[in-house]
Amino acid sequence: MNQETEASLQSSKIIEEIYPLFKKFGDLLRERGYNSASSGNISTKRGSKMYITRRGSMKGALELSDIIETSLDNVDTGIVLASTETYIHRNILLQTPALATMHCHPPNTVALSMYYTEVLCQDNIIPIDVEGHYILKNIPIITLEKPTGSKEMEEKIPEALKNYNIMILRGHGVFARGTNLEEAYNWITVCEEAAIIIFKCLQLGMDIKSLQGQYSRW
Amino acid sequence: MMDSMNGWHGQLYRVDLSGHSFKREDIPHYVLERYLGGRGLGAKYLKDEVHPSTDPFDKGNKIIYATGPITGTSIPTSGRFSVTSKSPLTGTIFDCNAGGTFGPALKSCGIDAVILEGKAPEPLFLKITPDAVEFHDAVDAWGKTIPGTTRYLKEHHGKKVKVSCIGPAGENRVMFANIMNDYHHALGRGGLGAIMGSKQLKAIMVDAGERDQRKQAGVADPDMLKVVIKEINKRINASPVTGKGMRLFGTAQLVNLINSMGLFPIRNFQSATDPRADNLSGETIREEIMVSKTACYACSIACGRMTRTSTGREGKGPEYESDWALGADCGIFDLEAVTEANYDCNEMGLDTISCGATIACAMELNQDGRLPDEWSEIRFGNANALQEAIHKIVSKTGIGADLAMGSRRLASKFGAPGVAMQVKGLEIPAYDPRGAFGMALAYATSNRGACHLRAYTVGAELLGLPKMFNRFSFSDKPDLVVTLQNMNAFFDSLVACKFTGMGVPDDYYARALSAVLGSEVSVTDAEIIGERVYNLERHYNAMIGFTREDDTLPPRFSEPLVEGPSAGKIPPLALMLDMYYGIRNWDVHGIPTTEKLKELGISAGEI
Repeated sequence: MNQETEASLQSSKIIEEIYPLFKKFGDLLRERGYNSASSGNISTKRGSKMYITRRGSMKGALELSDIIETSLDNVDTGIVLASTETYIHRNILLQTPALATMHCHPPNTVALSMYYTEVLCQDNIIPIDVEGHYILKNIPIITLEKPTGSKEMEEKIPEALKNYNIMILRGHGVFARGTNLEEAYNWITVCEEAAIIIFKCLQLGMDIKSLQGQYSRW
Repeated sequence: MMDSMNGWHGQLYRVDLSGHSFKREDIPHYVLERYLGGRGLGAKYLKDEVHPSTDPFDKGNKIIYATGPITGTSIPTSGRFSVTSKSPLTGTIFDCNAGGTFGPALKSCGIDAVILEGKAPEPLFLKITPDAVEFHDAVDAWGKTIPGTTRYLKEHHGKKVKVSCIGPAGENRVMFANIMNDYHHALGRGGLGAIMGSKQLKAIMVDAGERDQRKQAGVADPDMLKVVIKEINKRINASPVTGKGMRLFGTAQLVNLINSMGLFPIRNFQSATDPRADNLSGETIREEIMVSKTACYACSIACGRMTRTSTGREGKGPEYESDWALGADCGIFDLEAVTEANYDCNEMGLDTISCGATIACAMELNQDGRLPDEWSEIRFGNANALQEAIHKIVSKTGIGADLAMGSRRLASKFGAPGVAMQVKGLEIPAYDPRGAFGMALAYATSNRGACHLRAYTVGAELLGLPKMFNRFSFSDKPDLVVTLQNMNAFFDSLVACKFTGMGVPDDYYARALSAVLGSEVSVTDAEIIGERVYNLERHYNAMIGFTREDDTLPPRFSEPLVEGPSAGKIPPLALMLDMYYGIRNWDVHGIPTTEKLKELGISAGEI
C-alpha cells in the first residue's frame, strides 16, 4: 500500500469514529436552540489534523460529508470547504490545551454579553447560581470591532481561552474548548443556564452584582 | 512570566558523598521558571550533569531530591517531593515522587533540592538542617529494615527528624529496590533504592528545627491562594472518586471496577477478569483488615489504609497496584497473604509492582516448563511461595538472584523474553492495555517505561474524568496521551498528587501556582512547562540510545483477550504511535526534533 492510500484509509477510519460524535452534539445544539440552521461550528483535533464542520452545513442534520479534514499546521485546500471560523478553531487547538472546540449562539448568553458590557460596564459574567459558580466561576467577554470572520477574532479568542474553558464574543456567541466535545458542550450548557438564572433574577429586581461572590479575580 | 522568588528558596545543597563535603549553591532563576521543581528540576540537573553513557551504579550517577514551588504550602496534596536518577532497571532517566511529610521538612531547610554525588566509602547517613549537611556513620544500621532504620534514626537524632531511607533490598542492589520515607511512603519504581545502596547511603534525615527556625518560601498573594484552596477542597469533596471512593475504600476502590470492565490482569496478563477479584477489593479490605485511614501532608483525600492481618501484624496497604501485583497477577486471591507480602516489600524496600509482576513472570515461565526444579514452588495461585520469594529477592539468594533482576532480564535468561510484561524494562501496572487503548500508547511512550501515572488515561477511558472517552477508539488517544503526559509532568514538578486530577480541573493548580508566584501561569503555560520536561527527558533517553523500537508493548498485546468485556480488541499501536510522534513534533524514530527542542528552550546534546 502506498503512503497516500494509507493516509486516506487512516482519514476514513478517523472520520468514521468522529462522525457519530459530531452528529450527536450538532443535534443537541439544535435541540437547545443554540444555533440557527447553519450557524455555529464544531471541531476536534486528531494528531496533526483538524476535523471541522463544513461551511454552511446544518449542525442539526450533519452528514458524513459535512466533516472536513484540514491540516493544523499547514495550508491545504480543505480550508475552502471548512467553516469560515476555521482559523479561530485551529488557533484554539494549537494555542490552548483544547482537543475539541465548539462555537454556537446561545441567546440568553449573547443578550447578557451586551447588557454586561454596556449597562454594568463589566467585561465578564460571573454566574450567580451554584452550578455556574462551581463550574465556571468567571466567563470573559471580549468585544471586537469586527466580530465575524476577522483576523482579530483569530487572535483574541484563542488568547481568552488560554486560561478559561469558555468565553463570550460580545453580541455574537460563545467559544468553548474541552478535552473532548462532550466537555466543550457541557461548558456551553452551564454557561447558558447561568445566563438564564441571571435573567430571571434581573426580572425579579435582584441586585446581581451583590451575588457575584469572590470570583472576579478567577 | 515569573519575576519573583516567591515559591522557591533558589538554593540547593550539593553533597559529595565520596569526600563527605557539601556546598550551598544558587539555582538559576530561569531554571526554576522553566522547570519549576520536583521532576522538572531533577531532569534538568540530571541531563546537564550525568553523561548519558553513565552506568546507573557508577559513582558518576547522581541522585536528585527536589521539592517544588508549592511544597509546604497549604495547597491540597502539596506535601510531595521527588527523586530523579538514571535507573538500573530501565537504563532511562527516572523520577518518582512520594507524599508523607519529608518533602515539606526538606523545603523548610531553606533549599529546593539536594544533589547527591559520588559514592561513600562506608555506609552513611546524611542529616540535613537549615545550616548544614552532616555525615554520620551508618555501619551499625546497615541491614536494617525501613521501619528499623527510621526508628533507629529517631532514637538517635530526635523524634522530629523526617527519614527517607533504603532497606536491605536497596543495600543489595535489587534492581527494583525503592526508597521509603516517613515509614510508609514509597519512591516506588525503577530501582532508585538500588542506586542509593550503590552509593552506600542508607538514609537521609531532615531536621528543619523548631517551628520558628524553619524557612518558608514566600507566597505572593495569600488572599487569592485562600480562594483557590477553598475551591480545590470543594472539588475534592464533591468528586465521587476523591471525596467518596478514595476515602471509603482507598485506591483499591478500583479492583472491582477494573475487573468488571475486563482489564484487571490475571496470571501475568493471561486473562483480564476473575470472579475472585472481590477478595482483594477495597470493600473487602475495609471489612476485613482496615484499621484506620491515613493521609499525607495537606491532603484531605486520605487514600491510605492502615491495616492489620489475623497474625497481628500491622502496616500500610495494600494499595490497588500492590494488591494486584502480589495478588491477581500471581493468581493469588488470598487477601491476608497479599497483605503480608505487601508489608514485607515495604519493610525491605521493594517496589511492590515490579516485585509481584516479576514473580508472576516466573510463574508463567514455570507453567511453560522453562524453569529448573528449584523453582517448583513458584506456581500461579501458590500464596505460600510469595513471602519466601520476596525474602530470597531481597537477599539475592537461590532463585532470588534471578528474580532480583526484574522480569525482562529474567525472561530473557530463560529464553522467553515475550513472557515479561514490561516496557523499557519497567513492569506494566494493573490495567490490561487491550481494555483501554489510551493506556497502550501511554505505556509504550512513557519515558520511564511502562507506567500508569505518566498519562493516566484510565480517568478518561473508564471513569469519565473529565468526560468519558470510548476506550476502544484509537483516533482520539494520541492527543489525549500527549496532553496528559504534559500536564502530569507539570504536576510532578509542582509537586502535587495526581489523584487530585480525579476531582480537580487542571487550571485550579495553575491558579494556585499563580497565587504563590505572584504572576499569571495559565493552564496553557502549565502544559508548556510539562511539555518541556517531557521533551527534556525524551531527549536524554535518545542520547542514551532509546528509539521508536523501545516504544512498544510485549507481543501478548497483539493478540486479543478471549473472554470478558475487553475480548476481541487489539490496540492499533503503530497507527497511534505515528500520530503521537506527529503531535509531539518528533521524528519517525521518536526523537525530538531540533526545532522542537529550540522552541522549548532545551539545549540539544549529542545523539
